[in-house]
Amino acid sequence: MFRHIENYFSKHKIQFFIFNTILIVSILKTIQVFIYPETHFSEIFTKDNMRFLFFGRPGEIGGLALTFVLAIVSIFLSFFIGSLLGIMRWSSVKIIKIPAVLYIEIIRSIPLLMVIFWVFFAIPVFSMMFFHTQAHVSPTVAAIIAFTIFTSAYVAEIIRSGINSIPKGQFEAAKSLGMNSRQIFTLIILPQAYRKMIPALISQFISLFKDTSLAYTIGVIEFFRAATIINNRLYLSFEIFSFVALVYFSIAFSMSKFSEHLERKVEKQLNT
Amino acid sequence: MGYEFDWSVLLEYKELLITGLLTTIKLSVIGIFLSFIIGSLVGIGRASKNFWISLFSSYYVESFRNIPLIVQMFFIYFTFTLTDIFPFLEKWGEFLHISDTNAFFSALIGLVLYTSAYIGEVVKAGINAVPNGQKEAAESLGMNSFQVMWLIIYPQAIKIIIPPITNQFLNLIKNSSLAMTLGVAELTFATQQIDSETFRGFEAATAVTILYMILTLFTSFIMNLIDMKFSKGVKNV
Amino acid sequence: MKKNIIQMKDINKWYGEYHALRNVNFNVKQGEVVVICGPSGSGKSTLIRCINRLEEIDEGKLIVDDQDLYDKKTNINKVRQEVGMVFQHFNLFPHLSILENITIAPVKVKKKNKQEAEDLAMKLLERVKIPHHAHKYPSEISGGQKQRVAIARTLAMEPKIILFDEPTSALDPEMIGEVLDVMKELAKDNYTIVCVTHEMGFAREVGDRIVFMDAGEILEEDTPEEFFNNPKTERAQKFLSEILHH
Ligand SMILES: Nc1ncnc2c1ncn2[C@@H]1O[C@H](COP(=O)(O)OP(=O)(O)OP(=O)(O)O)[C@@H](O)[C@H]1O
Ligand SMILES: [Mg+2]
Repeated sequence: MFRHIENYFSKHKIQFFIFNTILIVSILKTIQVFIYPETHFSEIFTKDNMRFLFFGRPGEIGGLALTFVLAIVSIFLSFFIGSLLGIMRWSSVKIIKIPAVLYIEIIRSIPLLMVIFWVFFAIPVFSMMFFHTQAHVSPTVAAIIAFTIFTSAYVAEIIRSGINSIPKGQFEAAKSLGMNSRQIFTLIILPQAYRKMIPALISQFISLFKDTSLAYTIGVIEFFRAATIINNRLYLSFEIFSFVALVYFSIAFSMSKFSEHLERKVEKQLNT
Repeated sequence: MGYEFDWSVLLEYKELLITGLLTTIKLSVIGIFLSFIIGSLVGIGRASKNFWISLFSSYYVESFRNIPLIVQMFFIYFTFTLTDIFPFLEKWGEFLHISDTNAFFSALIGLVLYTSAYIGEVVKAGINAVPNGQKEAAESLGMNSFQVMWLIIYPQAIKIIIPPITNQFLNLIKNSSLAMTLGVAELTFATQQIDSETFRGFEAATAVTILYMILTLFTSFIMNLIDMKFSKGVKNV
Repeated sequence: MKKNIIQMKDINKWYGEYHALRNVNFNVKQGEVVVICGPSGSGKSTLIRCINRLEEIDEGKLIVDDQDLYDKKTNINKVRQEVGMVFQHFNLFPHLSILENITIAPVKVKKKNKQEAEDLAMKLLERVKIPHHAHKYPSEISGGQKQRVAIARTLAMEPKIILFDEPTSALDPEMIGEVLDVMKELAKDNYTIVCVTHEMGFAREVGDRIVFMDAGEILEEDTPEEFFNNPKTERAQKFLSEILHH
């Protein structure tokens, strides 16, 4: 009974998406009517602006395309580092476990913006300390490093709870077949754990996708910064930011519905 | 030559750091309070049998959690002049010793909208986790739906949701750093400020990181106490 | 001639495609003790839960204590104050102490004075023979004690009718007796009782009437004597031979 609306949405995803978009648009429209009686959407919807917003300046990658590059590259790297950390944290050997725990706990207790600044401030310092030169990293690379450092800690937690959800009997069965720890993980545990973790990993990816907008602060011209650049030129904040919000919404919302769909499928698989 | 640390900048800029810390705390405390209330209402709405209430709360949740927080903050800050729409905010700003009232409240509203959407989901899950028999027992005693929710379901749901809601509170504290993009002088802003004036970003970031860790640890500690208070003698029946 | 306090007329109910109640006609007189039995899935719970509208009917007329449950003017919460229910799995409120479990509805729903409600609660706890656990939490007492608290919680609303849905079937065998004893006492008082149970001893001792259901239909209605000694339908005979041999 409680869930009837959930059922409705799971059957009518597209309708819900359309309704929701219409709702956002109409809220925006109301705001516009009362506060900005005159809008100039046509001024931002020029070919040049759209190309800048979605693909960046000619000859370099930027805008929404760069947003996707940042998110995909970082989640890919985080997946491996996070898996490693998750397994390390699971281990019972202290020298392996403690660094992983410290890393995960520290990163998870500070804002992503601080991680971004850390990378920005610490790379020159470390390069002075160890290589005695002033290192130069591009903001895009710094952003990817920061996102990877940050997301790895969260992926590690996902991995750990995935491993914890595997029944003890699986470990015992694998051990009694004579497998070593590496074999136990790569052959028996991780393949089962990953399947259960897919929804959580996708929602981590969605978070990351939204968080790439913070690369704005170190000058990476991804989708959001591109929008602010246009805003600084045209002073059409209402039009630009409502458009940006709608684009982010459509992408993040579609991904989250897709993940719910997968979750249901995985559940069914595990039940049969 | 390696890098020479100079921790004395922290003393030199302690005013800035303390103001930053206080601003972060103000954003966090007010933000947690408001998003808990709004999030609870949204969550109850999400679990409601009433189609329209449920639909409306779904819209709320999906809209605010799928748009990046920084976009929401910029949208609010650049489209509205909050102090024109709500003149009383000026007084509140004075009362809270805030230098840029518009920026502070734009960031705060963004934080609350964003976090309450997540809290709404958490609350909904908690409510749905309370066995249906509880609702039936309460109804068969003649309670109306408000009493069923307020006296029976919500007190039990709150225990289930304390751990995930703690996570959301911590996220809010961390996300309050985004207020710096509107020029609100909170902790992360102080880091950047010290870096740009002295090129001592490393030292500043170290100090601020430790402050954030203390804030989040303290919050988890308080929430643990609350959790313990709620779980006295209560298990499955 | 006592009046009918529960009147069900031509009730039909479906769960989706599944026809759960078929043309049920069922009346209960004031003060009567009716036992409902039948095989698993026959619709006993569904029937009893319709009486306080925990389940909705699709067709038919349902009158409880002179109020039509599907009349728009009827306040269902008022009716429910007159109709207590005891569940198979107790459904005590785990976040409230035993005493609070019993007083919460009188205080919040009936707006009774708190002291009065507590006095009544203590009397009821004595009546169900657990006066010493008032300040414990539900998780700290046994199953039999939980069910007796649940009965006290229902009695605290001073209902005219009490519905029991298999009140002893989630209990360990050694605890069944203590709950049945309490129920027998209630049956001797002036309560109207509708009880789903497979405790045939209870049915024989205090039941005024036995209702046998199968596949959503009421197949037989008789005095316990008649029903046990010569069941009319084949399905009732089969049912009886099955439960009496266990
Ligand atoms: N909420 C529901 N949704 C769908 N079908 C249901 C629902 N509740 C009960 N049913 C079905 O209706 C039929 C009657 O159920 P009911 O619970 O009334 O049986 P019962 O006689 O109480 O059985 P038991 O002795 O097992 O408690 C069953 O076949 C059951 O599967
Ligand atoms: Mg039943």
